[in-house]
Amino acid sequence: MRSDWLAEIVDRSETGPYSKESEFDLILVRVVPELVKKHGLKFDPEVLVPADDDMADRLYEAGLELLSTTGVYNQTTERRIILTRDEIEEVVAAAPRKVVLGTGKDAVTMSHRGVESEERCVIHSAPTGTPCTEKYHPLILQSAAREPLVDCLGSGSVATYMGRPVIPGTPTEILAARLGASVAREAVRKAGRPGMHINDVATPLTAQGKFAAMDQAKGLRSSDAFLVSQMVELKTDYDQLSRVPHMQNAGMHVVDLLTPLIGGMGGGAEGTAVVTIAELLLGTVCYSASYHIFGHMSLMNVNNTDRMGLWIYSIGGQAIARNSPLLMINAIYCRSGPGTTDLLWEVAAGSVATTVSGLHQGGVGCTGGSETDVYTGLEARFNAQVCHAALGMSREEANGYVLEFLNHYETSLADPNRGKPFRELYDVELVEPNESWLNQYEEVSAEITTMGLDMDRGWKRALETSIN
Amino acid sequence: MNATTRLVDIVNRSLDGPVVEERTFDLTHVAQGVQQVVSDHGIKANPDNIVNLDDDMADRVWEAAVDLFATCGVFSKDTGRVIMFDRDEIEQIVRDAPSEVTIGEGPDERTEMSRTLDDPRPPLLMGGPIGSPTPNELFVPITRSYVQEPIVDVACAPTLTTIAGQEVRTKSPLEILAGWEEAKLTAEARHLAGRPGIGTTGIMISISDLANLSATSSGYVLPRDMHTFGIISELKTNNEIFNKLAHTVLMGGIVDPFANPIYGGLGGGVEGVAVLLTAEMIALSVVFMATCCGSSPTHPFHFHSTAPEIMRATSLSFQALARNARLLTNLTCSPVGGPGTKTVLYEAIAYAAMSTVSGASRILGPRSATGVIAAHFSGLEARLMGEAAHAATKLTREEAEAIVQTSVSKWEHLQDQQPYGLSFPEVYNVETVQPTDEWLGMYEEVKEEAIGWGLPLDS
Amino acid sequence: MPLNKWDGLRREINLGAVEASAAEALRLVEAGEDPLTIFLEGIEPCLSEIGDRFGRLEIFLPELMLSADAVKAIQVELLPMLEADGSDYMKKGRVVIGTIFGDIHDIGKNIVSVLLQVSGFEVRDLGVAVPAQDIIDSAKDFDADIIGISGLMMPSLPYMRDAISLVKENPELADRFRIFVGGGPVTREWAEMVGADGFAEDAVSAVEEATRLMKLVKGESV
Repeated sequence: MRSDWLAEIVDRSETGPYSKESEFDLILVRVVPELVKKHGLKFDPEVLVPADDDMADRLYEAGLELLSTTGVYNQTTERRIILTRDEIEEVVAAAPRKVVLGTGKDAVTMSHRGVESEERCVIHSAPTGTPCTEKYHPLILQSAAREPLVDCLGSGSVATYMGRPVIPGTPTEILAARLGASVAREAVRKAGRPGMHINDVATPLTAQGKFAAMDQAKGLRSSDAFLVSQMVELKTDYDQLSRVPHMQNAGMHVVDLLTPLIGGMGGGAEGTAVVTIAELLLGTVCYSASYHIFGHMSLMNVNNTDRMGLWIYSIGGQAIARNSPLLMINAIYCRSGPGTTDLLWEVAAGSVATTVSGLHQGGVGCTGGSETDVYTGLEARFNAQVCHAALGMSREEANGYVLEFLNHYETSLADPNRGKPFRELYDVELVEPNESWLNQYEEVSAEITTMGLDMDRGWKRALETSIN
Repeated sequence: MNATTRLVDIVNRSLDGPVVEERTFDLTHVAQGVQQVVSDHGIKANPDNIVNLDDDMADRVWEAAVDLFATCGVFSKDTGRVIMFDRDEIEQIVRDAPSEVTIGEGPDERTEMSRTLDDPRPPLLMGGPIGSPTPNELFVPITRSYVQEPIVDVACAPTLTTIAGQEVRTKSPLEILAGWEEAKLTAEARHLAGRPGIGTTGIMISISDLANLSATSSGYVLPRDMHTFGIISELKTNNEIFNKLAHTVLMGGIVDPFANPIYGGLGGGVEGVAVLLTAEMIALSVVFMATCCGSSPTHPFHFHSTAPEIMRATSLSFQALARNARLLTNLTCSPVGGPGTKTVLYEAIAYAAMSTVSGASRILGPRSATGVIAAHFSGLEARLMGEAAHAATKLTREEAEAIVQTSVSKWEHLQDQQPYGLSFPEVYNVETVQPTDEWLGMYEEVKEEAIGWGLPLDS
Repeated sequence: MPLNKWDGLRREINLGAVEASAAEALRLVEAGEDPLTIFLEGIEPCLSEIGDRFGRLEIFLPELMLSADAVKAIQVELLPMLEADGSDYMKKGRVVIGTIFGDIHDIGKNIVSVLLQVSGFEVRDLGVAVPAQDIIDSAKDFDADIIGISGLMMPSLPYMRDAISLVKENPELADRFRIFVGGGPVTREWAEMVGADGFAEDAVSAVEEATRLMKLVKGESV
């Protein structure tokens, strides 16, 4: 095994067993339930943050078995990249346990977090999976970059360039990619944090679009990252794989994005958890990822703040945290939008469940990406405060909080309040939240504080003890 | 209009232009369009000459080419539409196009300037085999053999045949790896030759837009390097080409595209190819925002650019361009002969003389052995081509014509014999990167011979 | 010199006059000429001459394309008569042709395509940048005898090899299609190495190669 074994991955992509994509899916559908049964994995809707080390370890084992059984499907070559168990274990063991993100005074170190860890979370934030308008995109990013608790920025996506739709594979995508990157760079610069890590430019969908966003002065640089995605489930292609050598050569961080679908090929909570583990391992082996975006979601509702979603976060996070050095950030896909207390309760649940289970924070995906401009920096601040208040908390205690938070929004999941766009929640000159949105934030913060989480001092303690 | 606005305008025209069937575009817009303007403007090349001696005919070719391009446009294969510019727009854009550009940095900085027919300044010499296949271990010595020649002003690299021991597969991660490797090896050759700032173009392995964008962002490409891409013959494009253009424009790189019409193809024979080539150079400027407009018109069966009928068309076209516009125009010499043959040296002399007196602002190559035989090229033939170009600035067109004719008579009968010669390690010491005595002797012999024809290679 | 009875037809084909060619062919039928004879004695020598003239670069691609159109128009009119006569004249061979994935060069491939057509092959031209699997699917759909693949860019050649493997490694297809390849970086050695049945140095030799492969298809000696 070696660090530059991408040529080997390509070779296996060319020579591995040929199969139609539907045949690969059928293998998955058959193998996953067998593994769930074999390893006795069981979802309990009342225990969303399980304190069951053995089950976490069994889940890891199931994920490892899944990947070494099915391999990875390369959609370009229609062949399976076969990986042995030994190879996977070896690459995973050698994966980074900590990475430095960003540069200069704005650099942060993101380290492996164990279960119930006191180690502070690194906070990424961005309009995760939420499209922005050209007009408000710069302000939306600024609202996140200027939040002092936000450590890293994602640049979000914009669907148009000078009013024209951005069509993947066309020059408008190149133009929009470079613009998106310069908007992100400008946002961190305006915030006085020019070296802040930017974790992607999401407007371009193709590899060439991503590459166009690289520009040492005005775009993304070697201290930044691009996402390399997996296709559901356990699939990749040459467009995604081609990003890896580019970033490796440029010295950039590779971020592995996985979005397993609950109710999809993995089936229910247990099966999706197994697929999630296998995909975290896939991203390590095939993409040499610096860190992973653990972004499962409900097939129907495009969120992970329901009971199944929260359970997968917790047990999946624990499985990885206990058995590997991998670095994970969440992506809290919510049903509600900003400007609602429902959103804040969803964020709180996702935040606590992941913090005690070994993850860092990746940001909030309001309305599951169904609305435009539905993101503000305020929910990033809230996310950071909740997670830092939960550092070192036991899983049993965390479970109690998560269930309590869930009581505030569970009934609204079926018919969520999509909230308001950025321009109605922020003063667009000052880039500050307006009074009504701030009041909602303070109301929920106060209630959480009453429940026993220290929203005010938690983050201060975390920063005091942090090496960053 | 700034570059980004212009680019968006071009993209919008590709989305909004008239819808045409591709075959109709080929046959009606291009092939019949060429025939029409050739007839309308009474274009007739003198079959006895290779170098054009008729100014009026050159001017008529220019008018015919503008007419052709204004009615024909450029077909986008991705949108099925034609990108159209009217005559006024074409003339305006060509008038505004750059007539000089600075390439490279430091002591190796060179300025490419638009040239006239009797221009005493020689064209720039871009030495290199331009994307011809080369095994990894020979990439640096071969590139160095060109870069180290003092007469070489700017350089262009060959291309790798494998990466990590595997065939390079476009649109796969291997193409990304190979692109970076080429960029790195080219930089290494520049440094080893002691000319780190010499301007280059390359990364020819990266034919897809994604690999091209990746490798040009590698940091090995200097801000004053050139970015090359080919358009689709004839007068066609796609989004992938525009993606490369968009990235180059936004990087502030030198846009250095080329269009290679096929002799006997849609343009037909000498007159048609002369007009089509001129129209394509105009298209490079107008639609592809070229800083420099390049070509290497190609023979349909033997793939060289030095066939007498092709040089006849090329000379006519480049004179039309030089007399009627101030575009930066370049020609790639693709001889059929290879190293270790006199053929390649004669071809280089003929092509350099023809190009120089026809107003080209840069000559590229030679891409010896038509650029398809692995490692069959070396820096020595570039030296002679450069020397011939410098010498030709002292000649009238009539004198150059005589030299070209004499030179052609030496190898015309060998065109279909594939005189590909020897590989680089057979004509150069790979360690010292110096030509063998035999190869050097052959070069000296041909040089003496050409001096005897009246080419002042000795002054 | 007495006027040859085919001169009118040949003139129209040479001019690429689509309607006039078809009309002249029909006139010959009405005058009592056998459709098969029209092809064998009237059209084939004419096409052969057109191919030769292109080989000598006396005429060019546009003339070839127009002549091919003229012959196609004649085929439309005379084909039903030939079939009614039970002739297998039109079974000269069916070819799918395209430039491989990753490559957008089309002029060389177009020349081959047209030369094959004027030589009597039925051709489906798939255009440029065609994925390996699409070439195979089209060959099946067109019921081709021969697959012709062009490629001028080295990083595209692995995909050409894929296309050949998809046929040669598939027992159901291995004997069904003959494949020939060509283009700048493609050499005879490479073609043999990857298992192609044929290789064409240039457009003119492509027709010879297709003709040779058709003999193999028909089990004739070559």
